[in-house]
Amino acid sequence: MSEDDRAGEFGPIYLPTLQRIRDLWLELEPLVETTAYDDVIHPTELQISLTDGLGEADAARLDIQWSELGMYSFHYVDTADINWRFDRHPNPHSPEIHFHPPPDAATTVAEPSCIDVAEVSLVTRAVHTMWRAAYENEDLNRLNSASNPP
Amino acid sequence: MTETWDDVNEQVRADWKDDTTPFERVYEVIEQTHDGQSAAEIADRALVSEPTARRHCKTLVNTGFAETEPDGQTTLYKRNSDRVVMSRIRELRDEADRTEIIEGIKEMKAEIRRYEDRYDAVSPEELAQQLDADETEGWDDLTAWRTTRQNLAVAQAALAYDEASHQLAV
Repeated sequence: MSEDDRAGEFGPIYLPTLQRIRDLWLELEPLVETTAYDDVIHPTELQISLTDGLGEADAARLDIQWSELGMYSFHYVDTADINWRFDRHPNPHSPEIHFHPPPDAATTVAEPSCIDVAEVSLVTRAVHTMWRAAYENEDLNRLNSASNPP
Repeated sequence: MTETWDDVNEQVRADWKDDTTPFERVYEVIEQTHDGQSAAEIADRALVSEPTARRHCKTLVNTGFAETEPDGQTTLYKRNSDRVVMSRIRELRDEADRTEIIEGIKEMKAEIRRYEDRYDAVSPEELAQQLDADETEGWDDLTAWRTTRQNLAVAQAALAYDEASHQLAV
């Protein structure tokens, strides 16, 4: 809970969604090493660690939150200190659904997200699909790009 | 290699439909529905026809996963929150022992006291009334407070459940 750009209701964290996101990443992504809540008794986010990262990085982690109101945050950070984040929450700087681009995912820098689906499986798949495109093409510009040309 | 696509949103809709049955999609949508919705709304979200959504919603009501609320002539469907609580209690009892849960309860109570002191408020609802939608100050703590309050209640329920099953087993 350190994103610091939320203004308006995010809602309490909804654990059934975090389980669903975990199961989907395990199913879709061969690089997943471990998945866990940040705390077993007092969970506030899901953490997924990957055995590789974008470009130079050799490992990465996704910190994921999803609330009862359907607000979310998918925050990527890797060993090369590259950060990016797909968010949905009310805020003073940009549309509710937005993207904080790499390399810093700075709170003050946000662009509209190309994700316009809302269901948890669809959002999770969209984030995963774009991460995969960026990873395989070694191209950070693929991260918030609706299309993936040949 | 990843396939090519024109619109990632269209692509993931197609993938979701390919990888799941209509029942699985209705199940997921109900799980994510906190305020009652009609079969037509559920159908739209789950990418199924309205009769299919209605049929699966009724099945989920019968199994106790969903519950209904009337809205004039329409029936609204949503997740059964008791079911969510029971699953979470079971998960917690699998993953943590009694001592850890008691320690967790202590920490969560202390965290809530810090929010009460910091904002001079007795509840997250009271804090929400103080916050300004044009300012980022305090909103993260509001979410954290609500989440902590839920996690505390579940941890306390898990302990009580333990005690009850222990008593019945004697």
